[in-house]
Amino acid sequence: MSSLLEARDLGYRYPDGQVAVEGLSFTLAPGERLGLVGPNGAGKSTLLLLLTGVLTPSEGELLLDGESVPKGRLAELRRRIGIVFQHSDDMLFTSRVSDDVAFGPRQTRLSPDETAIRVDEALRAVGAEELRERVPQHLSGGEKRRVALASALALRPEALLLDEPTSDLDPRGRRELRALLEDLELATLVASHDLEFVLALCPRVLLIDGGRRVTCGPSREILGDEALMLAHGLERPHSLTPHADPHHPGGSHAHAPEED
Amino acid sequence: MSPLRLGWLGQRDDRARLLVFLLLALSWASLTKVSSAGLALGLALGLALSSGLGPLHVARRLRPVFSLLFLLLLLTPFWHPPGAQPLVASWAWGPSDLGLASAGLLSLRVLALSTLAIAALDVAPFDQSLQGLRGLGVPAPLVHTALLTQRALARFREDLTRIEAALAARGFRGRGPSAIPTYSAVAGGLLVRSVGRAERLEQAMRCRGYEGELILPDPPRAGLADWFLVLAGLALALALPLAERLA
Repeated sequence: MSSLLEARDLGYRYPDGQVAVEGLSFTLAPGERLGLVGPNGAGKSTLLLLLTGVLTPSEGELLLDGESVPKGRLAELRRRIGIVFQHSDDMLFTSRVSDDVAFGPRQTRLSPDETAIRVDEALRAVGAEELRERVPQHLSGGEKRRVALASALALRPEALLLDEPTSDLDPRGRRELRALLEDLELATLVASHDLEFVLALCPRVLLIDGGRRVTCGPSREILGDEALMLAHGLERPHSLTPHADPHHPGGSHAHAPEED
Repeated sequence: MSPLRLGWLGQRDDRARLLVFLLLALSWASLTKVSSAGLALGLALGLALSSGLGPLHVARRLRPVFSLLFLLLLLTPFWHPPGAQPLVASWAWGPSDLGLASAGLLSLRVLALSTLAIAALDVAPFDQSLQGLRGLGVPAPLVHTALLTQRALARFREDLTRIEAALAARGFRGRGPSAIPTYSAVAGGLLVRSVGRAERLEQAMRCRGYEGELILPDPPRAGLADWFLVLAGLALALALPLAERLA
């Protein structure tokens, strides 16, 4: 399968020399949903920042459509790869929801008419049309999450990177987000500790620890391996434990493709 | 919160609205008669109320101005400019006639300008007014900083509220010199958070195409009503000082 985004031996060191990501390789195919799991400090958030060109890799390379992404193509990379940060508040920096969603299209110098179309489209996609004129600080956690998602979608990305997307959501918000992401049909990389969510949404997962790739493969196989999970500071999702309720949200939807 | 419903003044071109405000402010700040300053206050109130702002809203926004005026009214009557006569003959250092007139004039001018500012700024979203200022030639970095500061301040307040609640939950009362180290720690913590947040915000902006220059939407073309507003504002700005001279 051709890859939309590929990390090849990607590495990143913080300015103090500490290794955050090392020799990490994986691919994300068009339309694929890939889970990124690992304990705290595994390098998940840093990896997402590397994949959007916010951080420059110390080693290795990033490929978009099979071609290396040099500095001159960063704008293209950011337009095609959207990211939603862990804290939605970090993405909402203007005083009106519609302005926040319009931020990306305006920065990429789209015409006012096209910007308006993108804003309508993105807000509709996340079911947040009624929030258009609201002030970000008066939104609930779930509403902020939807607006942050809309602000990424307004650039019509081909892939979406989500950092802990369920961290401030109640069960209903979590269910709605899952349904929304399933409907989007975009390539999606979900970095999360919420393994039930990852299991329900992503057929394949990449497990990293200490900035290195541990394994990558079918979600049910990897997340269901209790010894592996415990060895890397995680826990097997409840729905994969023996005698778990087969109707549990995460239990029966994960269909795993072949490992890359 | 329900979206702000724009009155007729809020629906005008932001540049026109702010230009009229500037013209009137410059003109009314130079008024020298109590009667014309009173008329200016009446006009400002009329402008505010007719453009959809409620009397309670205006009064609430003027509250800090009243506090300032209280001090002004308390002290200025005791001012004795050359030619001033004491109001009470036996109390030479008491309130003077010119001091009292100055207090009245200053108060009316301050109230008129404050009400005018409320009418100019509260009739439309703040960011819209800032974009109007950009259209009037205010340097882009200033406007962009103000735009981002508005949201940053809201988040700063949220943080502060959370920290205050956390301190109160642990019995902190915030009184006396012993509270100073705690306040210092809170200020330091807020600063560190703000720096971290600014970094993340810049990352979020870069991910959405920001390359060091904020691109704002072009202001819409000014219509006939906007030009009429500017002309009416100009006439009004000239009328009161002219009337004072002719009187």
